[in-house]
Amino acid sequence: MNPSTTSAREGAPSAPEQAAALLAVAGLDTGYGDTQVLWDVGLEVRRGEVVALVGANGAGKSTLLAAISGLVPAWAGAIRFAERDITHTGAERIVKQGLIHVPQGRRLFPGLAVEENLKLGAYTRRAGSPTALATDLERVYTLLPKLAERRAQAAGSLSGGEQQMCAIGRGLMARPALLMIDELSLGLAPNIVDTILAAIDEIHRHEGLAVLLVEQDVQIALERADRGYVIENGRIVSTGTGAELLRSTTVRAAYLGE
Amino acid sequence: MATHAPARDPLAGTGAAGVRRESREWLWSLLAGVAILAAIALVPLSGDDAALSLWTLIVMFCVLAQGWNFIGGYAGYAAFGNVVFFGIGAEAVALTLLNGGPFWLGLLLGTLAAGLFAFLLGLPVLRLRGHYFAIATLGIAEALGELVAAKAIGGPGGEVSLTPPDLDFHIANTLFFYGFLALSLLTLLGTAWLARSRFGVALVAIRENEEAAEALGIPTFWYKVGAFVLSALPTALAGGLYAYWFLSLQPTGEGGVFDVGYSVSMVLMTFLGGAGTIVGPLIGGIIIEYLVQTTTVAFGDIHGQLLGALIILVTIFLPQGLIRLVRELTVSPAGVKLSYTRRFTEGVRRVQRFIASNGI
Repeated sequence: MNPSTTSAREGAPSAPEQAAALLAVAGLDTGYGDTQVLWDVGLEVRRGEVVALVGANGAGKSTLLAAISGLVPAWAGAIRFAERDITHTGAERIVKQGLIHVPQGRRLFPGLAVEENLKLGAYTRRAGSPTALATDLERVYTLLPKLAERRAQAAGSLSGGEQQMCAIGRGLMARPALLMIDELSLGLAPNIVDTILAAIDEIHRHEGLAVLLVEQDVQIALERADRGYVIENGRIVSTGTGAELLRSTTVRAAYLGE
Repeated sequence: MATHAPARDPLAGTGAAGVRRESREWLWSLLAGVAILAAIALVPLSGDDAALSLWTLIVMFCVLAQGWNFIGGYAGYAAFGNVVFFGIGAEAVALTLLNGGPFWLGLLLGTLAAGLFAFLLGLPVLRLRGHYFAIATLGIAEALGELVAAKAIGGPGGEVSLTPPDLDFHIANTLFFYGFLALSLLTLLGTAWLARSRFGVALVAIRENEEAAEALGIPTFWYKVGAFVLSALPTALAGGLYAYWFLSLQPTGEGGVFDVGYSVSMVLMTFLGGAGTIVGPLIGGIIIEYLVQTTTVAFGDIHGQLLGALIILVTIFLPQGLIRLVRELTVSPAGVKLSYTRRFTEGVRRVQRFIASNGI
């Protein structure tokens, strides 16, 4: 468990797979137009790790995800994914490399059926074999059986929880190495959040999927994360294991109302 | 866990059926379109010159609507300046003929020029969304019309009179009629291909939610440019055919080849039939242009008001077009076998519900 990415890379063949940073963000500045939103942001997700990014509304969480997935250009700093520099790579190529972003507010294709939404998740996988697509569809339906019931229904007519399931299922269809989920729990009943998190946990444990969980609900995120980052006003202000952060008095005071 | 459990899931079968039903819909649409065009192809047999020119015009408008469907129906971008491609196609033929060139060269040049223009115009305007995109395209079309009028390639104001082809009048008109018909068939085939292609699926994703499409790795901008170019090609060809068929052209004003009225017709026809469907623009084009022509004859000046009323009715009761009605009428719930009469009554009930849910 070597936390330093540089030494892990130098000793590449012998370094344990687990320690290698799958995603490494360093010194990232970005924003919209003239307005800077992120300052010197550094963040790391290792292979097979669940990392939480928590912070208040407007702290810059969604902007960070947009910058990582190539939807917002970086002003300064570097983003590496799977040993490749993706700082200035287009969104399309980033998706192809297995870095999948489930955007806030679910962003489904409302007029299309659930199954069509899911299939579009596999868009960048260049058609491939129809059997692989069918296998992946069945996998998503097994994980989230509610989607199987709704497969022919227009995504816009689903309940909030089902829409979130559809968005995450669509993300899984791209066979991600890292799934970044923006505000998974927003507006959802606790039992639905549990169902979705259980499905994600299943893939995380069985297939080593790494997850970057972006949450306003600090408790939900830090309870499940291996590590976490706290972002405030566009800067990372503290980091540690999920348990450490949950115990930290500053986090408890700022986000858990204690 | 990872092993396959065949046929354990009772829904697995219906999923496959759903896929098959989907693929049958494109085939039925295509066949319906071909059947409609085949029926229209019989018009010249009547020997009625008035009917021939009426249907030539109708099919021409069908092509315009079919072309608009690529950018407006599939990609969901409300292009209000597609007449510009019609004008470019028409003016290219006029210029070529005036300079002693052959008709086919004019058609070719016009199509290439319109495609190139769509590409270059798309680079800036397809970065705009919604109303801004609509207004920008509308403005460009008006501006280009004025520019052509000012440069006056023919007589004053850009009016052009062309020498008719060296053929018997009736034969020439029949050929133009079949020319438009072939163009419509080609565009229909192109639409059926698009609807089934990865490109078409991506355009629908852009229409449904552009940010989500981008996040999924669809190169949204270039696909939109592609759809815009695709919509320019049949439109320019129709303009070129129109120029040599109609023989007298003016760039601006009512009936001018850059008249915004054409753009409005394309939008209206596509929406009446069903935007983003294979055969919708064809059906919408036939209904509207037939009504326009016959009401002009029957009611003279008030035909505009009648059309206006039709537009209002369509937007209130059929915002998703006639094809959607057919879909509601024919689709049967997955996995359930019903008799034909039962299916029909169920369908009628669904249509009633559908109209009621879209009504006031």
